Amino acid sequence: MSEHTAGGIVSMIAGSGPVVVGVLLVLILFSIISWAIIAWKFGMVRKSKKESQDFLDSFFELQNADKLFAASESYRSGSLPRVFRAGYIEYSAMRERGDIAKVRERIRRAVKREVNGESKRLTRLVPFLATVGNTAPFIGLFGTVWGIMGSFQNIGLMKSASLAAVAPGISEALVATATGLVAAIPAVIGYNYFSSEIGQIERDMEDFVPDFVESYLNQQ
Amino acid sequence: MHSRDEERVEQRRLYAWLGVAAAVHVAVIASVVVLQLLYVRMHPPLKVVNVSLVSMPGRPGPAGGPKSLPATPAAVKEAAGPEPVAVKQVPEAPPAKPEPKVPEPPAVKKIPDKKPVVKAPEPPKKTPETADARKNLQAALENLKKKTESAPSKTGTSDLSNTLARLQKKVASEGGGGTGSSGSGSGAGGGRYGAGGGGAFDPYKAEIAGIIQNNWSFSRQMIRSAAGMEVYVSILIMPDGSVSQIRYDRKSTSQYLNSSVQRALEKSAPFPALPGEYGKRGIWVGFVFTPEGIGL
Repeated sequence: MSEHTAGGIVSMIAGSGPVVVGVLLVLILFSIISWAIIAWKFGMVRKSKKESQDFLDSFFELQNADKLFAASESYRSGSLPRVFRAGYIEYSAMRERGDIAKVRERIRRAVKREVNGESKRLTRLVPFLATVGNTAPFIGLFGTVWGIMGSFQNIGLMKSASLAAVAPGISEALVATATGLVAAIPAVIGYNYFSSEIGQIERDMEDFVPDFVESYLNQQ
Repeated sequence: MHSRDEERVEQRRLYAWLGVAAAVHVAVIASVVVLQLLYVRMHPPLKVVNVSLVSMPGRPGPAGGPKSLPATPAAVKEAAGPEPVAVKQVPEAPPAKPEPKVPEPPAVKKIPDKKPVVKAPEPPKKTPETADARKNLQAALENLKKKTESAPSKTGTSDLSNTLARLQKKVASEGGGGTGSSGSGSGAGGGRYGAGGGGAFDPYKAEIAGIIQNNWSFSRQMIRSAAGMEVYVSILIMPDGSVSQIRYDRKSTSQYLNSSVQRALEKSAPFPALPGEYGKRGIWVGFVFTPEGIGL
Protein backbone atom coordinates (compact mmCIF):
# COMPACT_ATOMS: atom_id res chain seq x y z
CA MET A 1 0.00 0.00 0.00
CA SER A 2 2.84 2.34 0.76
CA GLU A 3 4.11 1.80 -2.75
CA HIS A 4 0.85 3.02 -4.12
CA THR A 5 0.76 6.06 -1.95
CA ALA A 6 4.38 6.79 -2.70
CA GLY A 7 4.08 6.45 -6.47
CA GLY A 8 0.71 8.15 -6.62
CA ILE A 9 -1.71 7.75 -9.48
CA VAL A 10 0.93 6.43 -11.90
CA SER A 11 1.73 3.37 -9.84
CA MET A 12 -1.97 2.85 -9.20
CA ILE A 13 -2.67 2.77 -12.95
CA ALA A 14 0.41 0.65 -13.57
CA GLY A 15 -0.89 -1.86 -11.06
CA SER A 16 -4.30 -2.06 -12.72
CA GLY A 17 -5.40 -4.88 -14.98
CA PRO A 18 -5.76 -4.60 -18.78
CA VAL A 19 -9.53 -4.10 -18.59
CA VAL A 20 -9.21 -1.15 -16.24
CA VAL A 21 -6.44 0.32 -18.39
CA GLY A 22 -8.63 -0.11 -21.48
CA VAL A 23 -11.52 1.59 -19.75
CA LEU A 24 -9.23 4.46 -18.77
CA LEU A 25 -8.01 4.86 -22.35
CA VAL A 26 -11.57 4.92 -23.70
CA LEU A 27 -12.56 7.51 -21.14
CA ILE A 28 -9.53 9.67 -21.90
CA LEU A 29 -10.40 9.45 -25.62
CA PHE A 30 -13.98 10.47 -24.82
CA SER A 31 -12.70 13.36 -22.79
CA ILE A 32 -10.41 14.56 -25.60
CA ILE A 33 -13.21 14.42 -28.18
CA SER A 34 -15.65 16.09 -25.79
CA TRP A 35 -13.32 18.98 -25.11
CA ALA A 36 -12.57 19.38 -28.81
CA ILE A 37 -16.29 19.50 -29.61
CA ILE A 38 -16.92 21.92 -26.77
CA ALA A 39 -14.20 24.28 -27.99
CA TRP A 40 -15.24 23.96 -31.61
CA LYS A 41 -18.93 24.47 -30.94
CA PHE A 42 -18.33 27.28 -28.53
CA GLY A 43 -16.55 29.27 -31.23
CA MET A 44 -19.15 28.38 -33.84
CA VAL A 45 -22.19 29.26 -31.74
CA ARG A 46 -20.67 32.44 -30.42
CA LYS A 47 -19.73 33.64 -33.90
CA SER A 48 -23.14 32.70 -35.27
CA LYS A 49 -24.94 34.65 -32.56
CA LYS A 50 -22.73 37.69 -32.94
CA GLU A 51 -23.03 37.83 -36.71
CA SER A 52 -26.79 37.24 -36.54
CA GLN A 53 -27.11 40.15 -34.16
CA ASP A 54 -25.04 42.39 -36.41
CA PHE A 55 -27.06 41.33 -39.45
CA LEU A 56 -30.32 42.06 -37.66
CA ASP A 57 -29.09 45.57 -36.93
CA SER A 58 -28.42 46.01 -40.65
CA PHE A 59 -31.78 44.42 -41.49
CA PHE A 60 -33.75 46.91 -39.44
CA GLU A 61 -31.62 49.74 -40.70
CA LEU A 62 -31.58 49.10 -44.46
CA GLN A 63 -34.97 47.49 -45.28
CA ASN A 64 -33.74 46.79 -48.80
CA ALA A 65 -33.24 43.19 -49.88
CA ASP A 66 -30.48 43.91 -52.41
CA LYS A 67 -28.48 45.96 -49.96
CA LEU A 68 -29.11 43.45 -47.22
CA PHE A 69 -27.85 40.68 -49.44
CA ALA A 70 -24.69 42.65 -50.08
CA ALA A 71 -24.33 43.27 -46.36
CA SER A 72 -24.94 39.59 -45.53
CA GLU A 73 -21.84 38.63 -47.53
CA SER A 74 -19.72 39.84 -44.65
CA TYR A 75 -21.63 37.65 -42.15
CA ARG A 76 -20.97 34.22 -43.60
CA SER A 77 -20.99 32.33 -40.32
CA GLY A 78 -24.17 33.84 -38.89
CA SER A 79 -27.33 31.73 -39.03
CA LEU A 80 -29.75 34.54 -39.82
CA PRO A 81 -27.64 35.97 -42.70
CA ARG A 82 -27.40 32.46 -44.16
CA VAL A 83 -31.14 32.02 -44.04
CA PHE A 84 -31.64 35.45 -45.53
CA ARG A 85 -29.23 34.70 -48.37
CA ALA A 86 -30.95 31.42 -49.14
CA GLY A 87 -34.31 33.19 -49.38
CA TYR A 88 -32.85 35.99 -51.44
CA ILE A 89 -31.26 33.60 -53.97
CA GLU A 90 -34.60 31.86 -54.41
CA TYR A 91 -36.34 35.19 -54.75
CA SER A 92 -33.82 36.31 -57.39
CA ALA A 93 -34.52 33.18 -59.41
CA MET A 94 -38.30 33.65 -59.18
CA ARG A 95 -38.32 37.41 -59.45
CA GLU A 96 -39.41 37.49 -63.10
CA ARG A 97 -42.40 35.25 -62.54
CA GLY A 98 -45.60 37.12 -61.86
CA ASP A 99 -47.36 34.69 -59.54
CA ILE A 100 -46.60 36.19 -56.14
CA ALA A 101 -48.27 33.41 -54.17
CA LYS A 102 -46.14 30.84 -55.92
CA VAL A 103 -43.00 32.89 -55.44
CA ARG A 104 -43.81 33.35 -51.77
CA GLU A 105 -44.32 29.64 -51.36
CA ARG A 106 -41.04 28.82 -53.09
CA ILE A 107 -39.16 31.34 -50.99
CA ARG A 108 -40.74 29.98 -47.85
CA ARG A 109 -39.66 26.46 -48.72
CA ALA A 110 -36.13 27.55 -49.53
CA VAL A 111 -35.89 29.43 -46.23
CA LYS A 112 -37.29 26.47 -44.34
CA ARG A 113 -34.68 24.19 -45.93
CA GLU A 114 -31.94 26.56 -44.92
CA VAL A 115 -33.26 26.79 -41.37
CA ASN A 116 -33.17 23.01 -41.13
CA GLY A 117 -29.69 22.88 -42.64
CA GLU A 118 -28.50 25.52 -40.25
CA SER A 119 -29.97 23.64 -37.27
CA LYS A 120 -28.23 20.51 -38.47
CA ARG A 121 -24.93 22.35 -38.83
CA LEU A 122 -25.17 23.86 -35.38
CA THR A 123 -26.20 20.66 -33.61
CA ARG A 124 -23.65 18.48 -35.38
CA LEU A 125 -21.66 16.36 -32.86
CA VAL A 126 -23.47 17.97 -29.92
CA PRO A 127 -25.31 14.70 -29.14
CA PHE A 128 -21.90 13.11 -28.66
CA LEU A 129 -21.53 15.28 -25.58
CA ALA A 130 -24.80 13.87 -24.25
CA THR A 131 -23.57 10.37 -25.00
CA VAL A 132 -20.34 10.97 -23.12
CA GLY A 133 -22.19 12.62 -20.25
CA ASN A 134 -24.52 9.66 -19.92
CA THR A 135 -22.18 6.76 -20.55
CA ALA A 136 -18.80 7.83 -19.18
CA PRO A 137 -19.76 7.33 -15.50
CA PHE A 138 -21.07 3.89 -16.32
CA ILE A 139 -17.98 2.97 -18.28
CA GLY A 140 -15.89 4.14 -15.33
CA LEU A 141 -18.12 2.17 -12.99
CA PHE A 142 -17.57 -0.90 -15.13
CA GLY A 143 -13.81 -0.47 -14.71
CA THR A 144 -14.27 -0.06 -10.98
CA VAL A 145 -16.43 -3.16 -10.67
CA TRP A 146 -13.88 -5.11 -12.68
CA GLY A 147 -11.05 -3.87 -10.48
CA ILE A 148 -12.94 -4.72 -7.30
CA MET A 149 -13.55 -8.20 -8.66
CA GLY A 150 -9.78 -8.52 -9.00
CA SER A 151 -9.18 -7.25 -5.50
CA PHE A 152 -11.66 -9.76 -4.11
CA GLN A 153 -9.78 -12.46 -5.94
CA ASN A 154 -6.62 -11.18 -4.26
CA ILE A 155 -8.33 -11.47 -0.90
CA GLY A 156 -9.03 -15.10 -1.68
CA LEU A 157 -5.49 -15.76 -2.85
CA MET A 158 -3.84 -14.00 0.08
CA LYS A 159 -6.31 -15.52 2.52
CA SER A 160 -6.46 -12.21 4.25
CA ALA A 161 -9.17 -9.58 4.41
CA SER A 162 -6.85 -6.99 5.82
CA LEU A 163 -6.73 -3.44 4.55
CA ALA A 164 -3.37 -4.13 2.97
CA ALA A 165 -4.92 -6.83 0.80
CA VAL A 166 -8.13 -4.99 -0.13
CA ALA A 167 -7.33 -1.29 -0.27
CA PRO A 168 -4.84 -1.13 -3.17
CA GLY A 169 -7.16 -2.96 -5.56
CA ILE A 170 -10.10 -0.78 -4.62
CA SER A 171 -8.11 2.43 -4.94
CA GLU A 172 -6.89 1.33 -8.38
CA ALA A 173 -10.40 0.49 -9.40
CA LEU A 174 -11.79 3.81 -8.20
CA VAL A 175 -9.47 5.66 -10.58
CA ALA A 176 -11.74 4.44 -13.39
CA THR A 177 -14.84 5.97 -11.78
CA ALA A 178 -13.00 9.21 -11.15
CA THR A 179 -11.87 9.36 -14.79
CA GLY A 180 -15.43 8.66 -15.94
CA LEU A 181 -16.69 11.58 -13.90
CA VAL A 182 -13.89 13.81 -15.18
CA ALA A 183 -14.97 13.02 -18.73
CA ALA A 184 -18.71 13.24 -18.06
CA ILE A 185 -19.00 16.46 -16.09
CA PRO A 186 -17.69 18.89 -18.75
CA ALA A 187 -19.60 16.98 -21.43
CA VAL A 188 -22.90 17.40 -19.59
CA ILE A 189 -22.23 21.06 -18.89
CA GLY A 190 -21.30 21.64 -22.54
CA TYR A 191 -24.32 19.75 -23.81
CA ASN A 192 -26.72 21.78 -21.67
CA TYR A 193 -25.09 25.04 -22.70
CA PHE A 194 -25.13 24.27 -26.42
CA SER A 195 -28.67 22.92 -26.31
CA SER A 196 -29.82 26.17 -24.82
CA GLU A 197 -27.84 28.39 -27.19
CA ILE A 198 -28.73 26.46 -30.34
CA GLY A 199 -32.39 26.38 -29.31
CA GLN A 200 -32.29 30.15 -28.99
CA ILE A 201 -30.74 30.54 -32.47
CA GLU A 202 -33.38 28.20 -33.94
CA ARG A 203 -36.17 30.23 -32.38
CA ASP A 204 -34.64 33.41 -33.80
CA MET A 205 -34.55 31.85 -37.27
CA GLU A 206 -38.18 30.72 -37.00
CA ASP A 207 -39.20 34.18 -35.86
CA PHE A 208 -37.49 36.08 -38.66
CA VAL A 209 -38.45 33.86 -41.59
CA PRO A 210 -41.76 35.70 -42.27
CA ASP A 211 -40.00 39.07 -41.99
CA PHE A 212 -37.39 38.02 -44.51
CA VAL A 213 -40.01 36.78 -46.98
CA GLU A 214 -41.91 40.02 -46.68
CA SER A 215 -38.77 42.05 -47.14
CA TYR A 216 -38.08 40.39 -50.51
CA LEU A 217 -41.62 40.84 -51.81
CA ASN A 218 -42.23 44.33 -50.50
CA GLN A 219 -39.39 45.92 -52.42
CA GLN A 220 -40.99 45.15 -55.80
CA MET B 1 -26.68 27.36 -47.81
CA HIS B 2 -23.05 26.67 -47.20
CA SER B 3 -20.51 25.45 -49.64
CA ARG B 4 -18.29 22.41 -49.27
CA ASP B 5 -15.33 24.67 -48.72
CA GLU B 6 -16.96 26.03 -45.60
CA GLU B 7 -17.62 22.49 -44.42
CA ARG B 8 -14.01 21.59 -45.00
CA VAL B 9 -12.87 24.63 -43.07
CA GLU B 10 -15.11 23.65 -40.20
CA GLN B 11 -13.82 20.09 -40.26
CA ARG B 12 -10.28 21.35 -40.26
CA ARG B 13 -11.13 23.48 -37.25
CA LEU B 14 -12.55 20.45 -35.50
CA TYR B 15 -9.38 18.47 -36.16
CA ALA B 16 -7.29 21.35 -34.92
CA TRP B 17 -9.31 21.45 -31.73
CA LEU B 18 -8.92 17.69 -31.38
CA GLY B 19 -5.16 18.13 -31.55
CA VAL B 20 -5.27 20.93 -29.02
CA ALA B 21 -7.49 18.91 -26.68
CA ALA B 22 -5.17 15.90 -26.95
CA ALA B 23 -2.14 18.07 -26.24
CA VAL B 24 -3.87 19.67 -23.25
CA HIS B 25 -4.84 16.26 -21.88
CA VAL B 26 -1.29 15.00 -22.25
CA ALA B 27 -0.03 18.16 -20.53
CA VAL B 28 -2.53 17.81 -17.68
CA ILE B 29 -1.73 14.14 -17.14
CA ALA B 30 2.01 14.85 -17.28
CA SER B 31 1.70 17.73 -14.83
CA VAL B 32 -0.35 15.57 -12.44
CA VAL B 33 2.32 12.88 -12.58
CA VAL B 34 5.16 15.35 -12.14
CA LEU B 35 3.39 17.13 -9.28
CA GLN B 36 2.76 13.85 -7.51
CA LEU B 37 6.35 12.77 -7.92
CA LEU B 38 7.51 16.14 -6.64
CA TYR B 39 5.12 15.91 -3.71
CA VAL B 40 6.38 12.46 -2.85
CA ARG B 41 9.95 13.67 -3.13
CA MET B 42 9.27 16.70 -0.95
CA HIS B 43 7.26 14.71 1.60
CA PRO B 44 8.83 11.27 1.75
CA PRO B 45 6.66 8.75 3.58
CA LEU B 46 7.75 8.50 7.18
CA LYS B 47 9.06 5.20 8.36
CA VAL B 48 6.70 3.61 10.82
CA VAL B 49 8.51 2.11 13.75
CA ASN B 50 6.27 0.21 16.12
CA VAL B 51 7.78 0.27 19.56
CA SER B 52 6.27 -1.97 22.15
CA LEU B 53 6.97 -0.68 25.61
CA VAL B 54 5.92 -3.93 27.18
CA SER B 55 8.72 -6.42 27.36
CA MET B 56 10.52 -8.55 29.85
CA PRO B 57 13.61 -6.77 31.11
CA GLY B 58 16.68 -8.02 29.35
CA ARG B 59 14.64 -10.03 26.87
CA PRO B 60 14.92 -8.73 23.32
CA GLY B 61 11.55 -7.48 22.21
CA PRO B 62 10.11 -7.18 18.73
CA ALA B 63 10.90 -3.52 18.40
CA GLY B 64 14.34 -3.43 19.98
CA GLY B 65 15.37 0.13 20.70
CA PRO B 66 14.36 1.19 24.15
CA LYS B 67 14.00 -2.34 25.39
CA SER B 68 17.66 -2.73 25.99
CA LEU B 69 17.51 0.00 28.59
CA PRO B 70 15.15 -1.63 31.07
CA ALA B 71 17.85 -4.14 31.82
CA THR B 72 19.68 -1.51 33.82
CA PRO B 73 17.29 -1.30 36.77
CA ALA B 74 17.17 -5.06 37.01
CA ALA B 75 20.91 -5.32 37.05
CA VAL B 76 21.09 -2.61 39.63
CA LYS B 77 18.50 -4.37 41.66
CA GLU B 78 20.66 -7.46 41.78
CA ALA B 79 23.72 -5.45 42.61
CA ALA B 80 22.00 -3.63 45.44
CA GLY B 81 21.14 -6.92 47.07
CA PRO B 82 18.88 -6.76 50.11
CA GLU B 83 17.85 -3.14 49.62
CA PRO B 84 15.60 -3.10 46.57
CA VAL B 85 14.10 0.29 47.33
CA ALA B 86 17.42 2.00 47.20
CA VAL B 87 17.88 0.79 43.67
CA LYS B 88 15.27 3.21 42.51
CA GLN B 89 17.62 5.97 43.37
CA VAL B 90 20.10 4.79 40.80
CA PRO B 91 18.98 6.88 37.83
CA GLU B 92 19.17 9.98 39.98
CA ALA B 93 22.75 11.07 39.80
CA PRO B 94 22.62 14.21 42.02
CA PRO B 95 23.08 12.46 45.38
CA ALA B 96 26.51 11.28 44.38
CA LYS B 97 27.72 14.64 43.20
CA PRO B 98 29.90 16.32 45.74
CA GLU B 99 29.66 19.79 44.22
CA PRO B 100 28.09 22.20 46.66
CA LYS B 101 26.25 24.00 43.85
CA VAL B 102 24.47 20.88 42.75
CA PRO B 103 21.27 20.30 44.77
CA GLU B 104 22.02 17.51 47.14
CA PRO B 105 19.47 15.01 48.23
CA PRO B 106 17.90 15.80 51.57
CA ALA B 107 18.81 12.38 52.86
CA VAL B 108 22.47 13.24 52.63
CA LYS B 109 21.93 16.63 54.19
CA LYS B 110 20.34 15.10 57.24
CA ILE B 111 23.42 13.06 58.00
CA PRO B 112 25.09 14.51 61.10
CA ASP B 113 28.51 14.83 59.57
CA LYS B 114 28.12 16.13 56.09
CA LYS B 115 31.74 16.81 55.22
CA PRO B 116 32.77 13.26 54.46
CA VAL B 117 29.87 12.90 52.12
CA VAL B 118 30.69 16.09 50.28
CA LYS B 119 34.33 15.31 49.86
CA ALA B 120 34.00 11.68 49.06
CA PRO B 121 33.38 10.82 45.40
CA GLU B 122 35.27 13.26 43.28
CA PRO B 123 36.12 11.39 40.05
CA PRO B 124 32.62 10.47 38.85
CA LYS B 125 31.17 13.99 38.95
CA LYS B 126 31.90 14.57 35.26
CA THR B 127 29.82 11.66 34.03
CA PRO B 128 26.12 11.97 34.60
CA GLU B 129 25.28 8.59 33.11
CA THR B 130 23.45 5.97 35.02
CA ALA B 131 26.30 3.57 35.52
CA ASP B 132 28.53 6.28 36.86
CA ALA B 133 25.79 7.55 39.08
CA ARG B 134 25.42 4.10 40.48
CA LYS B 135 29.14 3.93 41.17
CA ASN B 136 28.98 7.35 42.76
CA LEU B 137 26.19 6.28 45.02
CA GLN B 138 27.95 3.12 46.01
CA ALA B 139 31.16 4.99 46.63
CA ALA B 140 29.30 7.53 48.71
CA LEU B 141 27.66 4.81 50.71
CA GLU B 142 30.97 3.07 51.25
CA ASN B 143 32.55 6.29 52.31
CA LEU B 144 29.69 7.08 54.62
CA LYS B 145 29.91 3.62 56.09
CA LYS B 146 33.61 3.99 56.77
CA LYS B 147 33.20 7.39 58.38
CA THR B 148 30.34 6.39 60.56
CA GLU B 149 32.15 3.26 61.67
CA SER B 150 35.26 5.19 62.54
CA ALA B 151 33.41 7.95 64.35
CA PRO B 152 32.05 7.20 67.83
CA SER B 153 28.30 6.96 67.94
CA LYS B 154 26.67 9.51 70.21
CA THR B 155 23.27 7.91 70.38
CA GLY B 156 24.46 4.43 70.84
CA THR B 157 22.86 3.17 67.66
CA SER B 158 24.52 3.20 64.29
CA ASP B 159 24.20 6.48 62.41
CA LEU B 160 24.74 4.56 59.26
CA SER B 161 21.59 2.54 59.74
CA ASN B 162 19.64 5.73 60.49
CA THR B 163 21.04 7.40 57.46
CA LEU B 164 20.32 4.47 55.29
CA ALA B 165 16.81 4.25 56.66
CA ARG B 166 16.23 7.92 55.86
CA LEU B 167 17.75 7.42 52.48
CA GLN B 168 15.50 4.47 51.82
CA LYS B 169 12.46 6.43 52.95
CA LYS B 170 13.38 9.30 50.73
CA VAL B 171 14.01 7.09 47.78
CA ALA B 172 10.78 5.22 48.38
CA SER B 173 8.86 8.48 48.40
CA GLU B 174 10.44 9.57 45.14
CA GLY B 175 10.62 6.21 43.43
CA GLY B 176 7.30 6.37 41.56
CA GLY B 177 7.95 9.75 40.11
CA GLY B 178 10.88 8.88 37.94
CA THR B 179 11.05 10.35 34.52
CA GLY B 180 11.37 6.97 32.99
CA SER B 181 14.14 8.00 30.70
CA SER B 182 15.97 4.85 31.51
CA GLY B 183 13.08 2.81 32.81
CA SER B 184 11.18 0.14 31.03
CA GLY B 185 7.74 1.74 31.05
CA SER B 186 6.27 4.95 29.87
CA GLY B 187 7.35 6.74 32.99
CA ALA B 188 4.17 8.70 33.13
CA GLY B 189 4.51 9.57 36.77
CA GLY B 190 3.13 8.32 40.01
CA GLY B 191 0.08 6.27 40.81
CA ARG B 192 -0.87 3.19 38.93
CA TYR B 193 0.85 4.32 35.75
CA GLY B 194 4.22 5.04 37.27
CA ALA B 195 5.45 1.53 37.72
CA GLY B 196 7.72 1.70 34.72
CA GLY B 197 9.77 4.63 35.89
CA GLY B 198 12.56 2.62 37.31
CA GLY B 199 10.28 0.63 39.58
CA ALA B 200 10.72 -2.99 40.47
CA PHE B 201 9.76 -5.36 37.71
CA ASP B 202 6.44 -7.03 38.28
CA PRO B 203 6.21 -10.24 36.25
CA TYR B 204 2.46 -10.56 36.75
CA LYS B 205 1.76 -7.08 35.42
CA ALA B 206 4.13 -7.64 32.54
CA GLU B 207 2.33 -10.88 31.76
CA ILE B 208 -1.11 -9.29 31.62
CA ALA B 209 0.31 -6.41 29.62
CA GLY B 210 1.63 -8.95 27.16
CA ILE B 211 -1.78 -10.64 27.00
CA ILE B 212 -3.47 -7.33 26.28
CA GLN B 213 -0.83 -6.42 23.74
CA ASN B 214 -1.45 -9.67 21.90
CA ASN B 215 -5.19 -9.05 21.84
CA TRP B 216 -4.86 -5.42 20.85
CA SER B 217 -5.44 -4.91 17.15
CA PHE B 218 -4.56 -1.36 16.26
CA SER B 219 -3.06 0.12 13.13
CA ARG B 220 -1.15 3.35 13.44
CA GLN B 221 -1.92 4.13 9.82
CA MET B 222 -5.57 4.57 10.71
CA ILE B 223 -4.93 7.73 12.69
CA ARG B 224 -3.75 10.97 11.19
CA SER B 225 -2.21 12.74 14.13
CA ALA B 226 -0.41 11.37 17.16
CA ALA B 227 -1.49 14.31 19.30
CA GLY B 228 -3.64 13.31 22.25
CA MET B 229 -3.42 9.64 21.35
CA GLU B 230 -3.17 8.29 24.87
CA VAL B 231 -5.70 6.18 26.70
CA TYR B 232 -5.18 5.75 30.44
CA VAL B 233 -7.04 2.73 31.69
CA SER B 234 -7.13 1.15 35.12
CA ILE B 235 -8.47 -2.32 35.63
CA LEU B 236 -9.26 -4.02 38.88
CA ILE B 237 -8.09 -7.61 38.71
CA MET B 238 -9.63 -9.94 41.23
CA PRO B 239 -7.67 -12.84 42.82
CA ASP B 240 -9.19 -15.32 40.36
CA GLY B 241 -7.97 -13.22 37.45
CA SER B 242 -11.34 -11.79 36.49
CA VAL B 243 -11.70 -8.10 35.80
CA SER B 244 -14.28 -6.55 38.04
CA GLN B 245 -13.87 -2.94 36.99
CA ILE B 246 -12.46 -1.00 34.07
CA ARG B 247 -11.93 2.67 34.51
CA TYR B 248 -10.92 5.06 31.75
CA ASP B 249 -8.92 7.76 33.45
CA ARG B 250 -8.33 9.51 30.18
CA LYS B 251 -9.52 8.79 26.69
CA SER B 252 -7.88 9.78 23.45
CA THR B 253 -9.37 11.97 20.77
CA SER B 254 -9.56 9.01 18.42
CA GLN B 255 -12.64 6.87 18.76
CA TYR B 256 -10.79 4.17 16.87
CA LEU B 257 -8.06 3.98 19.52
CA ASN B 258 -10.59 4.09 22.36
CA SER B 259 -12.69 1.28 20.96
CA SER B 260 -9.61 -0.80 20.09
CA VAL B 261 -8.50 -0.54 23.73
CA GLN B 262 -11.93 -1.56 24.91
CA ARG B 263 -11.97 -4.54 22.58
CA ALA B 264 -8.48 -5.57 23.66
CA LEU B 265 -9.48 -5.53 27.33
CA GLU B 266 -12.68 -7.43 26.64
CA LYS B 267 -10.77 -10.03 24.65
CA SER B 268 -8.02 -10.39 27.22
CA ALA B 269 -10.19 -11.00 30.28
CA PRO B 270 -10.04 -13.14 32.33
CA PHE B 271 -6.38 -12.90 33.20
CA PRO B 272 -4.32 -15.52 35.03
CA ALA B 273 -5.12 -15.77 38.71
CA LEU B 274 -3.36 -13.29 40.95
CA PRO B 275 -0.31 -14.55 42.81
CA GLY B 276 -0.86 -14.93 46.50
CA GLU B 277 1.34 -11.99 47.40
CA TYR B 278 -1.28 -9.55 46.11
CA GLY B 279 -3.79 -10.54 48.75
CA LYS B 280 -7.45 -11.30 48.33
CA ARG B 281 -8.80 -7.88 47.51
CA GLY B 282 -7.48 -7.73 43.98
CA ILE B 283 -5.21 -5.09 42.50
CA TRP B 284 -5.61 -2.06 40.32
CA VAL B 285 -3.33 -2.08 37.31
CA GLY B 286 -2.97 0.94 35.10
CA PHE B 287 -2.06 0.93 31.44
CA VAL B 288 -1.26 3.67 29.00
CA PHE B 289 -2.24 2.83 25.44
CA THR B 290 -0.47 4.88 22.83
CA PRO B 291 -0.05 4.26 19.09
CA GLU B 292 3.47 3.09 19.94
CA GLY B 293 2.32 0.39 22.31
CA ILE B 294 1.15 -0.30 25.82
CA GLY B 295 2.89 1.12 28.83
CA LEU B 296 2.43 0.02 32.40
